[in-house]
Amino acid sequence: MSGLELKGLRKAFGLTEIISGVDLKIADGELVVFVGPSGCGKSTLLRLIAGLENVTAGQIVIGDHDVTKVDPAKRGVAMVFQSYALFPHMTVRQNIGFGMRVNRVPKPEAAARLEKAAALLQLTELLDRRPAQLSGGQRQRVAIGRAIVREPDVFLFDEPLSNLDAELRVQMRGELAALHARLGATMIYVTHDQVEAMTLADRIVVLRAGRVEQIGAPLDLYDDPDNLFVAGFLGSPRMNFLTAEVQPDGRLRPNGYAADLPSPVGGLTPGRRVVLGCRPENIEITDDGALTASVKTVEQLGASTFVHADCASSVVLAAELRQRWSLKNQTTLRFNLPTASTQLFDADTGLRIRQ
Amino acid sequence: MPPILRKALIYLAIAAVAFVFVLPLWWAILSSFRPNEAIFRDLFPFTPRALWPEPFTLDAYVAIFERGFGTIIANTLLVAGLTTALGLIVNGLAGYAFALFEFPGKSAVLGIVVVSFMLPFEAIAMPLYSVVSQLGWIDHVAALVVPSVANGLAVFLFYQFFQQVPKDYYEAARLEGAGWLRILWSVYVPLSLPTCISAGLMLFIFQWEAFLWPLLAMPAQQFKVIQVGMAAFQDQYTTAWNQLFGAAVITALIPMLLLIPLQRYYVQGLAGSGIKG
Ligand SMILES: Nc1ncnc2c1ncn2[C@@H]1O[C@H](COP(=O)(O)OP(=O)(O)O)[C@@H](O)[C@H]1O
Ligand SMILES: [Mg+2]
Repeated sequence: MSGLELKGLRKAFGLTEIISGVDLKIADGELVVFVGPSGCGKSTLLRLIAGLENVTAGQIVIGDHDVTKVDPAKRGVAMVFQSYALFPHMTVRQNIGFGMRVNRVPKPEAAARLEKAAALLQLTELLDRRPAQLSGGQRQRVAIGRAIVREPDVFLFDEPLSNLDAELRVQMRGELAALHARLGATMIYVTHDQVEAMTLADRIVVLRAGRVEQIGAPLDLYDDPDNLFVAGFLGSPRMNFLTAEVQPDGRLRPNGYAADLPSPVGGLTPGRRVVLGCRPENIEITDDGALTASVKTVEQLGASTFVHADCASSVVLAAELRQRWSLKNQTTLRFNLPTASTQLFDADTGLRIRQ
Repeated sequence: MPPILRKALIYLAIAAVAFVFVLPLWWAILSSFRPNEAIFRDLFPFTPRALWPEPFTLDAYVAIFERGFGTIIANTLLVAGLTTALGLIVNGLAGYAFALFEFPGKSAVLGIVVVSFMLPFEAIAMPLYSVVSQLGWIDHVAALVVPSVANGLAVFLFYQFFQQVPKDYYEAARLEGAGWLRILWSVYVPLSLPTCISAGLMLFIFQWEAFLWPLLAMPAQQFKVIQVGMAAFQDQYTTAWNQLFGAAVITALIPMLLLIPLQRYYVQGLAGSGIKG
């Protein structure tokens, strides 16, 4: 097992650049999740690491070896495909053992590895079935089994849970986390689902349009995003954003309101346009709130209540409340953004404004 | 109209149509079991006895084999079998290359392959003859087999099937360390059995039915194939109708017998192989 490093990695298909310079260091045994909206280049990045695509520029280092030009089979990576890519005409046993047959692993050793992987993944009973006779979760485990028996340095997962139903997805997520803990292997996991990213990752890499937006531990990214994109991508419902203008006294005037709010950051140039961000769970709904909004929908989930309300300037505000709440639609509510839990971004560049 | 009557009428209509289709076939079969003089006996004027092999005799079949039809069948099986076996390899490899590899001029070459199977054979018979004769293959089995091995339609069948196979299979096998030939053999061939059978059957029938080319390429007539051999039953003055029919029955029977054991693979198709779902 070993770590992995990407240096200035670029990939273009024809003239379109899909990956625009990715630098990343992954430690041995780390589980890193690439997350980003659909089409941002996550799969492409993973396929570059696997060797299924040739890099346009840059370097890939696994362990101590530069594998940029190495044959995919010799990089020490195993990949679990989104479609699982199980060979339909082979039994589970043959599927898992395929690579070992190709590489002429001695029969007793191959059998031992297969038994071990099957036991780990609870596949022992299913070894003689074909993929068509398995449920989605079982196919998923076979695909993982095929990766495990190769004893790779790095595991690559491309949206492995996206074909499962919601309940099974949660269960498999847990199994994957347990597997990672057990194998202690380096894993790269691609998903567009920020919940999966938050729950699985040691570190998250947020990608947008082929660039890394931010890298960090899940809660660090959640609490301390570098820009509007990361702030809005992690968390559900997403962070509330109010565009505001810095007043001569340094306070912030949200668009469409006549009230000023204190700024979480001092020393701003008056007239600068900024975005004030506040997560739904931090919104305070109080009768002496400085801002008003008109209630649109109220979702009572029991433990928490989500209130969606129209602010001035057609921004929709989402608030998560711990107590139950029974305001009717169209009622006007007053709310506050607690200064300590708001974040400030530049309205033009989208970058975070820190103290 | 009462439903029962309606149904009866429908069945009657179906039976009539089926009769029209089956009649020539049936008449050919029963004629092969009649003596040559009796073939047209009950037709003009028509009596129902024309639909029954009577008087019954196996003379025609005995005569056919005495005239060397056994060798002719063996010859044709050899030519068709060789063509099928080599053709599956060559066309399968070509279809695989078109489906999975990128190379310069791919779409142009594929276009030529598609056009090639739209050309009637008669159009290329003469140029082909001059090529084959320069190779010194005239009157050689190679003259029958080699030109028929590469078949545009078979390439296209394989290409289409292999293209539908998810690319993930190729890539997964590639990551496991399998080379392209191994992937073809271990993954693509088992999945494409129905296509192999379609293509194989096509190549086989093509040779089984060949007449013009064997006639041109084997002028010495030492090595005769079925269609050429059958033509010999009909000479200028007399025609051994019963033998001709007997040969036709055998000729039709052999491909059918070959197909029956393969039928279950045929029906299996894509759904059964589990690619979908
Ligand atoms: N082989 C290819 N040729 C051309 N464009 C491609 C190819 N593969 C992916 N792309 C493009 O690259 C972009 C990123 O794709 P992908 O990495 O699959 O995104 P993601 O996995 O993040 O959804 C998409 O716009 C896609 O159209
Ligand atoms: Mg993808």
